[in-house]
Amino acid sequence: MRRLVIIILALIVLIGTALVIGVLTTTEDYSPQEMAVVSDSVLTPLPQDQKAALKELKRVETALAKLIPRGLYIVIDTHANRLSLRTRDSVILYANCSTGSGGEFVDSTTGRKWIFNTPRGVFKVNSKLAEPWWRKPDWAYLEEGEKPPKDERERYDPEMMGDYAIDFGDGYFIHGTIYERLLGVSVTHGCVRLGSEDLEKLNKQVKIGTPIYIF
Amino acid sequence: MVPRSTFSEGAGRRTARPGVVLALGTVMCVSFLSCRHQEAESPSSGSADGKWNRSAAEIEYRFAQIEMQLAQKASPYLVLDLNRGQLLLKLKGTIVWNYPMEFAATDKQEVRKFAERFRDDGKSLARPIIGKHLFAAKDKTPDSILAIVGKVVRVAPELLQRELPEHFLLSWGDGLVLEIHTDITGAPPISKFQNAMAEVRKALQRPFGGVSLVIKVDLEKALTLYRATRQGMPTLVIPPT
Repeated sequence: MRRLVIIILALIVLIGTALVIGVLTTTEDYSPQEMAVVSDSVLTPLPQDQKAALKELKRVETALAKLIPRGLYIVIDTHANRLSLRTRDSVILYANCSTGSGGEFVDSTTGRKWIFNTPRGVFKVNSKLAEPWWRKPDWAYLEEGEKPPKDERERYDPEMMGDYAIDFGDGYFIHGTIYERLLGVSVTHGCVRLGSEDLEKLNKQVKIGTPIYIF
Repeated sequence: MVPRSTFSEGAGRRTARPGVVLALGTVMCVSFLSCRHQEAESPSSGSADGKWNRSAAEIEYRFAQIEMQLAQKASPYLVLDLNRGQLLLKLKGTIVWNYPMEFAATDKQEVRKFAERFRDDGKSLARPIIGKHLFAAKDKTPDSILAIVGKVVRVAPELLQRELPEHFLLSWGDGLVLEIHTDITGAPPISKFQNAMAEVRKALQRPFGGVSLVIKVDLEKALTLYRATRQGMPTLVIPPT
C-alpha cells in the first residue's frame, strides 16, 4: 500500500515537472536568429568622432522623418473595415467602409481563378473620376452563371459605383455602393466601398498623389 | 451611350505622370527643409546642452537604423511608446493605427521593468511577437445575418466573421506580456483549459523576472489590434524617461 502511494506521488511529481517544463518552453524556445527582427549585420556603428556621429545620427533621423507624409493621407484598416483621412497629428474623416472578402472564385470551365482581396501596402491616388461607370469584369458574369458578353458596351453599369471613384492602381478603386447596409463587412471583390456622404467628403479633400496606406 | 469614365476591378495598370513626379519632388524638397528645421529644435543624445552622451547616441542611432529597416518592409510593425503612452501600428514609417496606453500609477515601476527587460541592456531594441492568445471573444455579426450576406456575395460566412476580443495577450519571450482587455463579455473561443495554461505560463514566468502589462482598449481598436498583430510581427519599445 505504502509503495503504491509512493509510486502515485512520484508519477504526480513527474507529470507536474513535465507540465511546468512544457508550459515554460512552449512559446519561449526561439533561437537568436528568430528573435532578431533586424540582423545586427545590417546595422553600422556610430562614427567615433563626435561631430561625424551627430551628423550621421541626424541623417538617419531625417530619413525617418521624410517617410511620414507632410499633408493628408488615407488609411484603410481592412481588419475593422474603417477608412480614415488623416494628417500626422489629426483625423479629419473616419468612416465605415467595406474591403475585400478574401473569397475565391474559380471558373469551372476554364479554371481561371480570382481571389478577392484588397491589396495591402502603400499606394497613392492615381486619378479621380466623377460619375464613374463600372465595366463589369468576367468574374461578375461568371459568378452569376452567365457568359461574359461579346459586345463591350453591354459591360457598362452606371449605377454600381456611386458618384465618385478614386483610383489607386491595378484596377482598384475607392468608390460608392448601392449596398450601404453592408458597410463595415468585408464583402467586396477588392475595391474599397464607402457611403455616399463620406465618399463625397473624401473626394473633395484628396488630390492626385495623396498617399493611401492599407493594412 | 458612351461612358464618361469607366474602370474595371483588377484590370487596370499604374501609369507614371510627369506632373505627379514633379509634385512629389517638390514635396520631398519642402519636407527635407522642414525636417532640417525640426532637427534644430529636437534635442538629441544630450547634445543640446553641450554634453555628449555617447552611449545614448549609440542606442538612438541603432534604434533609428532598426526603424529604418522595418520601414522598408511591406508589412506593419508595432511600437510600444512607453514614453508617450501610445500603442502604434506603423507601415513604412507612418502611423496607421494608434491608441493611448494608460497604466495605473502603481504600474509605473512595472512599465520601466518591462522596457528594461525588453531592451536587455540595449542588446534587443526590437523583438518579434512570439505569442498571441485569445482568452475570450464575441462574434461581431450574428451568424444568421452573415449567412444571408454570404449567400448574396457568394462568400463563406466564416470568412466574413470578425471576432470581437474580450481579452487577449501578446508576448515577446522572456516573460514579456501585454494583456489587452475590452468592455465586452465573450466566451473562450477554444477551451478553458488552454486559457488556464496561458495563465499558468504567465504566472510561472513571474518569479524569473517576467513582466505583464495590462491595458484597456476600445472594442473597435482592439479588433484591429487583435487581427493586425501576428506571430513574428516586429515590435519596438520606446522606454519611459
